[in-house]
Amino acid sequence: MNTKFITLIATLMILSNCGGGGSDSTVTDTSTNTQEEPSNNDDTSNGTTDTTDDANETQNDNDSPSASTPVDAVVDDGLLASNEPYYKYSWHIDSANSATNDTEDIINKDSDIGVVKAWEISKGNGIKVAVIDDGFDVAHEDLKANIAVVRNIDDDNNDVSNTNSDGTALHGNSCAGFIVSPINGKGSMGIAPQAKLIGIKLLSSDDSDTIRAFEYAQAQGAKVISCSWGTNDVSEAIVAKLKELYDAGITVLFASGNDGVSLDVAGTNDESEVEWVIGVGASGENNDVTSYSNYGKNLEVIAPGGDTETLGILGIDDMGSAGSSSQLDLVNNNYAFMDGTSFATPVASGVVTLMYAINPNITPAQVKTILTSTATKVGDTKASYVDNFDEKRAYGKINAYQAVLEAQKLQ
Amino acid sequence: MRLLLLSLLSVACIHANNFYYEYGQKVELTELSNPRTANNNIAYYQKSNGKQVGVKKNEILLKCNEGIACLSILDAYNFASVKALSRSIYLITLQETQNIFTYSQTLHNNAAIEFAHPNFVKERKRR
Repeated sequence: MNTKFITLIATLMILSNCGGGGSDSTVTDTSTNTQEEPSNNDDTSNGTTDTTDDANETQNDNDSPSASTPVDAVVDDGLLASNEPYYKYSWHIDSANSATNDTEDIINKDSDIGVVKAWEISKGNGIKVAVIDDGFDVAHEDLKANIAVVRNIDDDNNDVSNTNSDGTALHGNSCAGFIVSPINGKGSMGIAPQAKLIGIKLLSSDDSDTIRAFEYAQAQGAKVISCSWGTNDVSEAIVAKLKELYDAGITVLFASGNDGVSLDVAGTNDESEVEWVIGVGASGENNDVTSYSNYGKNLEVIAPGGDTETLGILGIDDMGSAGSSSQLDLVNNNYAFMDGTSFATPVASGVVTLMYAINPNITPAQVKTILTSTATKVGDTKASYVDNFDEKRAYGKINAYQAVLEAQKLQ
Repeated sequence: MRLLLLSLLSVACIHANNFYYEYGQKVELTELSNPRTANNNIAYYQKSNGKQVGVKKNEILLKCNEGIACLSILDAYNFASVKALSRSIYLITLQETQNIFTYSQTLHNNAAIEFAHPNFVKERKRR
């Protein structure tokens, strides 16, 4: 298709703030893929701690993508990202073009993480990313096309739906959507819209079942595992499993929590602080760390998680077809505005997925080095970065474009 | 060898307390009088740091040191079952007569074993 023509259409769509339609996506049959036993392979260890000088070059330009985005960066299967009806609320992806009359004043134009520009290089094609959470709606219009496989660890079957006394509650749905929602003209889009989801339902609180969930993700070929939960009391056996994943070349990300407290206190030993994972706090639409985001010296980055006091981050709904109370009269029942490190973490996981897509051989150590060295230093005068680290903001806000660029250089 | 091991364990049982080792540190537990669930397979305790934790009464998670034939080591203990959860982590199910803390301590003290602690039940909070 003529590039200039596409550019013109994209520009008109953005300027008029109107969403376009799109074709339905193919539904992936998730009912037949099972994994009964954990793998006990010894040949998965390819992790190293090597890093390169390139990866250590600090790149702090946010490179807000919108003004000069080449149009092929936002095209997916003939559709434009800006075709998504709620692109205009997706400030974490394109803050320069995200606003309504109601939200214009509260969205900082630099609050995105350079995703659209990163899509010039990678959109996650060929990478499987696992989300371990409380359940998934495998029929959701903005998820079903990108599901590779699902598994219920508790019941050892493929039923990953979840209901409770409050109705359907699918925290995992929202988390997964922030990573793999396709560009399909339906509503929103994930950071890695061409990646595939391994959806793992885990309600059991037993450490042994948590290990089984990680093992399943590994056996299914996950390169990235996103965890929007924590115990503040991680067991040695869980840490051992996280080390196995690290050594196998799999990057695991954990949310830091929403209490607005330091994790650097006696008695707190959270999953997000483990050496073998990426610990993620939350930034808001004001382009700074949110007040609720837990912080600490062992976290790596903050990523868009939405600001409780203002708009929140737009994603697919966690309450089923009944809708949630967080639609703000702006979106339909399949979507909601949310906030939490729960959602910052899949956003960061999406960025790591893009990195793996452009360089499948990158190691978790290299991922960590790149993320921390390319993060954007946000906070202005409120921040105090010492050796590139700020107590509340870790190494800064994740920068998708620079991270993917550095991953590409390591090929 | 097995007779000696059983003798040592018998002595250890007499002096067993509610503690285990994790990250190389002794962790003492106080059993809660009002457990949160009625699950007979789980006992709830408070750690010395104030955190509450559930313990599967008959299950231990364990990892041997690199290069050790772990199953051979564990064979001497006559456990009800030993199952590999991953490349290096094992889930042990105890016999009814075997005490969770006695065996967590004993396994921890085995030089071939990197760690051994109860299979915990911990509240996992969405964030």
